[in-house]
Amino acid sequence: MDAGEWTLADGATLRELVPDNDTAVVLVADPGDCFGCSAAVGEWATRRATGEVRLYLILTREPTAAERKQLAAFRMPVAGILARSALPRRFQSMEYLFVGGIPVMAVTLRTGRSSSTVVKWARTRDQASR
Amino acid sequence: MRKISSLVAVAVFGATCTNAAPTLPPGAGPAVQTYRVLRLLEPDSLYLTRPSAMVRGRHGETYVSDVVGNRVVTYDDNGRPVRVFGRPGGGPGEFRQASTMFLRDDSTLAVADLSRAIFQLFDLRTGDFRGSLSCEGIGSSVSYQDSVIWLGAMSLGRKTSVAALRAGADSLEYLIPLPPEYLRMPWLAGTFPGSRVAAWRDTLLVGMTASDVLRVFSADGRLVDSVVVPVRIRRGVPPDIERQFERHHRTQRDWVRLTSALLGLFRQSNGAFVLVHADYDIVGPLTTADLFVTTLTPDRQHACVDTQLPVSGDAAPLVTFRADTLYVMDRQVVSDTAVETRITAYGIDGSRCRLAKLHEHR
Repeated sequence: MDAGEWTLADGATLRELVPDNDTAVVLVADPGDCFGCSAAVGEWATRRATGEVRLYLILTREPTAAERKQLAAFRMPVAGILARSALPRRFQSMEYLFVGGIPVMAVTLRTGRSSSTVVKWARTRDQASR
Repeated sequence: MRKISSLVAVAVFGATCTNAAPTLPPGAGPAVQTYRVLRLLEPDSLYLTRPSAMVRGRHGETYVSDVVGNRVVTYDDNGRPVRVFGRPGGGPGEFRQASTMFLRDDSTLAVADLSRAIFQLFDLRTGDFRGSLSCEGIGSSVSYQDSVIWLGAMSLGRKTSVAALRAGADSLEYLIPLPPEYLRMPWLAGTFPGSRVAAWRDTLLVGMTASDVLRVFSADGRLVDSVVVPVRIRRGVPPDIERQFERHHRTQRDWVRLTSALLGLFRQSNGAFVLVHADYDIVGPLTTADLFVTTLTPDRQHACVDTQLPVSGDAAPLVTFRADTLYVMDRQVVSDTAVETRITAYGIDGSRCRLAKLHEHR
């Protein structure tokens, strides 16, 4: 199953989250993975806040109170929680580039930096589509 | 304001053992007067993600480095952002881990990139990148004294705890030997890195992050004397911290919660010293801290110990000092996607305190 078909706790799919005509980055992350060394998530948050990229953060579980505070510091809204049944057996936090509702690129979410490749494509494709 | 933890104070004040910090009975610490609270304005295009250091400028401006946003934002005296220095990246004028800062003359802002062990230099007026300055070790505090900038910069390679940047020089001098416990235990240095320095005339007062001992050095590196700072309500540093490190397997969180950390060491214009200790905690991705202020008399014979400062507990506070004023940056979560950042200016007065006699460290 491609990531676009993954369902959220509210029953929607990732594909439905991202508008058909949109280019966006979808971070699918385990809060325990992505906030310990949070530079990558922080970088993505800054890119989202400045309008450089469209970004959706999907978590694999409800964040803890401390994780919520960290997300607030990053001004990073949570777009959804992945349904437990949708979680792959060997899950890794990932950065997905969605184009027209389809995931066209997937890169492991690193703790240190956001993927320059995903950033480049999210930015340039988004600008071209405007 | 966080609740002040109640500690059972063991009155060993006046004991002759001087390796451990004496624990004082409950009582008043330094008087703390709030001068002003400044709220920083943080638009979406320019908000702070994880502030890592703060410096006050001569004209009331505040420089804040962001270790995740990897830039420095300057705020005017009303809290409005007025200039940005640097950006994320690995090139000239870019950061992977923007951290400690200092101002050189009235013309240059130096910002440490911890990932590359360099200071990036920026023109204060234009924001333009002006070059870099290599720094061995972790710069963690700054003291200005005439034409010399003294950095608390712990270097395990050189086995030194202080670096000096003299007027006109384009490289740092490394001096002041690391204390024996840091040389014996590299893991102590790894867990509690950093040194603090306050400089005046030809003398330096130097403290390490995980130590209640302050050492006085001449500017050429000769040890003059050393004192142990007593504990009243902060955790202090366990006297057997070395043994605990050797015997127990603990997580980083356990170690952080074991001891106080010396966060700031400053000298007032009347010659008295202001110390800020942090009792850190790690909760999930958050690092938070309770802050405590202690003052030392100019002759370093007496101390007024541990007044707790109010902080939110939502983030690790930062401190800086200028013109006899202690500045504390604190951040408070106000909604799921908003944090308010405030800088509180405090006057610190230990002169009317019931002073505790300091003991020489042996």
